[in-house]
Amino acid sequence: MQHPDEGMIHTWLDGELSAEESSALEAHSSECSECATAIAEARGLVAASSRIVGLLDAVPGGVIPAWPKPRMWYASTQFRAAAAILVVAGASLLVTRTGTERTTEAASGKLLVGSVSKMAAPVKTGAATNATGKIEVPPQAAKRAPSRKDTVREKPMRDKAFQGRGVSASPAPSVAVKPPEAELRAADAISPQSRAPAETGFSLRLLRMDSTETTKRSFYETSPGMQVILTELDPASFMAKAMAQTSGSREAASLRALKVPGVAGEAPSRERKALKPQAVNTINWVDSLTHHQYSLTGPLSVEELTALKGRLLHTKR
Amino acid sequence: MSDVERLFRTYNAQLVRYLTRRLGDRDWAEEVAQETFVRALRQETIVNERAWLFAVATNLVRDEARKDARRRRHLSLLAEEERDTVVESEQTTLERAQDAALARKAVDALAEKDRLALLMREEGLDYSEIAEALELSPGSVGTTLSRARRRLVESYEELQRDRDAREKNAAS
Repeated sequence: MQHPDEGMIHTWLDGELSAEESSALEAHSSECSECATAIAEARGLVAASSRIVGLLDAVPGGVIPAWPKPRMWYASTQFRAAAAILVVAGASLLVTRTGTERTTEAASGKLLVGSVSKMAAPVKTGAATNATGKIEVPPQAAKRAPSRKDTVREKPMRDKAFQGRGVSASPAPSVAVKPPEAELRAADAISPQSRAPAETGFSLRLLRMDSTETTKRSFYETSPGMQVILTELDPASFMAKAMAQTSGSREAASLRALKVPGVAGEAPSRERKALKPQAVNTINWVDSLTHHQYSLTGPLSVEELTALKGRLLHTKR
Repeated sequence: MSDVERLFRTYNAQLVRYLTRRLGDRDWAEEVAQETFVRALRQETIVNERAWLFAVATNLVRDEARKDARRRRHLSLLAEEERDTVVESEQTTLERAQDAALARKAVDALAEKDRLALLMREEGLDYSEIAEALELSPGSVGTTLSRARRRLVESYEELQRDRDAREKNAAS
């Protein structure tokens, strides 16, 4: 037999050689020291290669890490901010349109706040303003849900008994109505005749402030019994809040508990008839720096409110 | 027990180990192995089961590597990082990781056919199965394996010498 090549030796070591060839190789290697050395070396290579291949098993899984999940397009801050503005703007448009229809009723002698309440707008119900302009919290409301008075704005006012007997029936033309989310433009379409005479030189006195998770409201008195409300809405917090709320929310429940119609019902009907309906206007703007949205609501003309806005901004600065 | 279930139970461990050694990543290996068994589901008849499975798995890896060369390069880079950044508290673990890194380099340095034949043989495939899976003539498998083993060992020993020399230089 000739000297077996390396391939044949490996084949033999792997047990793949036929019986006949194996016998021949074994016989030859017992006589040929060179082949015996080659066989020994091949044994070493087989063992060493097995050991080296075995070392590969130490490689852990997940060497290829998962690629970082691309941030979805809608998760960007810019998009969220834009979405917040869009939602608020859309809601404003919706309410403004409805408000325009409703305020024609107000112009024809119906009570404004009752109309506003029908717009499914959040209504400040926890407090009413009396003839002296002092804000009072109805005992019933305060007793039932004292801690929730700032959250009732979410509840659409559907109670027909309340409509037409709203807060504006109280002696003073109070404007305890401001939906921060809806950016309510309450009575833009009201006739100028029904509006209270404009005052050019407003005195501006901060009566009180309240705030919720999303909004901050400041109540100013511009003249005795004449109030305006400055509402500041943070769109980012509003979005978070809106997402957390679903239909039938606790806020709605607490609003029901407050029995808003009862509050309005306390106004004597005699005085209600004696009063002229007061137009309530709202102007909205967005602070370009903070992107906070403001609305100023009060029984003043849009021009007067705009002038007042300038004063308020000046004061803030 | 269905045929595929039997195939899976019989060959999955071997196939995953082969692919892990081939790819250097167990998760990827398991993915390829699963895909291989899925392919087996679609196959009406398989004459030589093990050879067929290893051939399909090998082709899947090859196709995927061809399609996604970027991922493969990334794997190499990560494997390099893995080797370079292995920090273990136990000395033995560190040595093992270093040895594994050298083994990976040495195996990767082999020619494709040699590497696959060797890895298949290590999984117990006989010569006829290797020949079938790699489309080799049965007579050439011995030569392929002997060449693969020699080159692997020589390459590994050379890498070891380089490492030892580097460590020696660093120490001095």
